[in-house]
Amino acid sequence: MLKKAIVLFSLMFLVSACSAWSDSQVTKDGKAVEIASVSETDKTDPSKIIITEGDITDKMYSVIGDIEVTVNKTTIFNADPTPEMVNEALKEKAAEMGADAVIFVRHGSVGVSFFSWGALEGKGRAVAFNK
Amino acid sequence: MRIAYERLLRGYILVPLTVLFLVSCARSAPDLPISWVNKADAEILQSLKINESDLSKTCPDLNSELIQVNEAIEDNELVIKGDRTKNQIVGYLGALFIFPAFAADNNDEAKANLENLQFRKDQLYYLKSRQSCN
Repeated sequence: MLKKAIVLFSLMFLVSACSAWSDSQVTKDGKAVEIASVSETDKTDPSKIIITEGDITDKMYSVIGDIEVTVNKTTIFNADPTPEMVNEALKEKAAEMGADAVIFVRHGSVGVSFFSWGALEGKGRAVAFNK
Repeated sequence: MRIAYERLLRGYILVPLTVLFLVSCARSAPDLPISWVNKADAEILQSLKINESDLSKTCPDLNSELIQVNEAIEDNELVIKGDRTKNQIVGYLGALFIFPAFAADNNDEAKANLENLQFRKDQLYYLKSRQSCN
């Protein structure tokens, strides 16, 4: 019994070291987009990605795809994911796709999902500026 | 012995599943509007269900409505956030003893409001871009 408790608490401690994990998917016109083909040189720096709730009207752009990310808290003891964490996940994904900005960013509300006690979803459209 | 074990196992599966249905579920982010790139104005207006009266609105009208919509979004998010701690406690207890889970508040009204407000926001963004507002 004591052994089981020790193993259980060790596992909980191990898992709670990672406070959040995320998953994502990319679509364009309703179809899944394969981003593995983007070369390393075409990938952008996540810190340089523009995130906006609205549209970008002062620059011409091409749409790369629609991103959907979900940030989940690892255990019930971790803090809830925040919109800022979702924005970071959107930036990471957009950078992998070689995007310059994510427009029309929107968030869901934190709540229980099948995989987590606290999940927050975000969506946005990855775009690349026309050069 | 085996029957008792199966009952116990079933309980471990059914109770968390039931709790998930009862405690406040995560709200998905609202769907994105259609892409405006290379699309005809009429197609976008139809997709965003923009009516005639909206087309005559000026940039200051659109900007002030956008501020109001953002404030309403914040208010509805606060309602959901306010119930989150209570719902978490109810959820934890519900996982142990099923009955407290009935006390959870799913904030259905606030969530529906947020969906509608985001749709209005998308309409306003398009109207603003159509009129080249700042």
